[in-house]
This record gives sequence, C-alpha cells and structure tokens, in this order.
Amino acid sequence: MNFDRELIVRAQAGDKEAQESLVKTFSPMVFRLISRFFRSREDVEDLAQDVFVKMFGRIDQVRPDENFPGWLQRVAVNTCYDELRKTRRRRIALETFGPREVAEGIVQPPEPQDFGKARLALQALDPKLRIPLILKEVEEMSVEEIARTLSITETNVKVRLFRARKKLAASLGDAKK
Amino acid sequence: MNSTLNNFFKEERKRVFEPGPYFTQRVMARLSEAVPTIWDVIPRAIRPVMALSMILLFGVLAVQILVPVEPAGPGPIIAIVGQDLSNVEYTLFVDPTEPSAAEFDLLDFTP
Repeated sequence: MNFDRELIVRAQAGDKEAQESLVKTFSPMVFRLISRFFRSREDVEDLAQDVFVKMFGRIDQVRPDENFPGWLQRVAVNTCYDELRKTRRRRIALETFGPREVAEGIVQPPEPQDFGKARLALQALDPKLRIPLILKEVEEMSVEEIARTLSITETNVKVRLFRARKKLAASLGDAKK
Repeated sequence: MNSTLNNFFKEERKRVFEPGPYFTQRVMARLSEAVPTIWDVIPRAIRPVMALSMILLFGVLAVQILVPVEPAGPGPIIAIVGQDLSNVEYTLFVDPTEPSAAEFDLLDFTP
C-alpha cells in the first residue's frame, strides 16, 4: 500500500492534518476487514472508530520504516476478536436474522438457504477459529500473513484452519440431515 | 471444502462496507474528546518503571497502615499520667518489661 510515511512522523508529533490523512487513507482497508466479521454497518463504523482511536493511542510505538498497514490490520483484527468474544452468543441470533438491518430499511437481497446455514455455522465457531478461517477464505490472506496478523505461529494457523473447516463441515453435515 | 461453502465465501468477498463521508470527522471528534489520563502524560518508556515504583510505594503504605507499629517507649499520655502512679501501678500497667518473680514478690500490693 502506497502512502507517505512522513504522515506517521507528523501524526506522532500531533499534526491534526496528518492524522486526518491517515484516517482517510486507511479507513477503506479497516472497513473492509471489519466487514468480514460484522454484518451491521453501525457495528462496522463503531469498531472502525475504535480501531483508529487505538491506533492514535499507540502511534508512538510505530516506526515509520515498519509495515504500518500490517500493524494496523493487527489492531483491527484484535479489536474484532475482542468484540466477537464479548458478544458471541448474543450476536449469533442478531446477525443471522438481522433485525437492525430491517429496522433501518437496509434491505439486502435474499440469500440462498444454504448460505444462511453456512453463516450460522460460521458464526457458531469460536472466534479463535473463525477469524483465521475468514482471513484465509474471504480476505484471501496467506498462512504467513495470518500468522503475522494474529501474532501466532504458522503451525498454529494451520491447526486452527483445519479445526475450523472440520467443525464447519460437521455443522453443515448435521444441518443437512 | 464443499461447494456451498466456497460459494458462500465468494459472496462474502463482495460484501464490504465503505466509510461514510463524515467518518474522518467523527474519528477526529472522538480523538479530541478523549481526556488524557495520567498514563498518557507519562512517556511510554517510563511507564513500567513508574508502575513498579507505584506498586512498591503502595505496598509499603499498605503494610504501614495494616500492620500496627508497636511503640518503643511510653506514649505522651502515659508519660504524663505515669507521674501520678505509684511504683506498683507503674510496674503493673505501664512498664513494658515484665517483672521477674523475685521483683513481683517484692511489690507491695497493700492499698
């Protein structure tokens, strides 16, 4: 991702314009990543704000020559992980049937029944397994990238992916019976 | 992985929210609202040292508050009241050293 690394130095010094530019540059990436885990626009926007507030809270840890987008992805995924863990049980129902979307008038095209089952099975997965699977299958990250983003070993990523796929297949198998 | 899941993931790739036109302003507003705590003021490199010293300080304070210190000598009240006490009363009620059996026998308990 191309961006002016000088922006980080200026943002670290408290330059408001540089901070705004960083938000503008990276908000599409952060939104895309959070959209993978949350289906309500409100949730995505709230979490994206949290991510940027955290980012500026820790920006003095960043060295301009480091992989800043990778670091920000890590902050975003960790924020999603914390949120998923907090609200896992409650959200399974809410996100599946999407009452907020209906209430807001954001009507999404109906999806095939199989997709609904797949979504349910995916949402029932532990966030520890769900996040690497989504990063791999939807975000199309490599195992190495996922390991870096989640700060775990590549072996650990492979194990989690294997378990996630196995559980998902088992849930979908059960659903078909 | 079965085809349903593959198709589902393909669909999921298309589902992306874009930031709204006022998103940047909202983030900047939240940033300016954030009240800096004492930890934000302290430089990050000093925080562990600061935290450790505070833990030690509070530890010492807690010990001092919770564990009463035994006074070494008589307190100011006893020092004043003790002047009016007889030898026997002083030995029984004030003197921190325990009298030996011989000293005890020598005490005159008659009022």
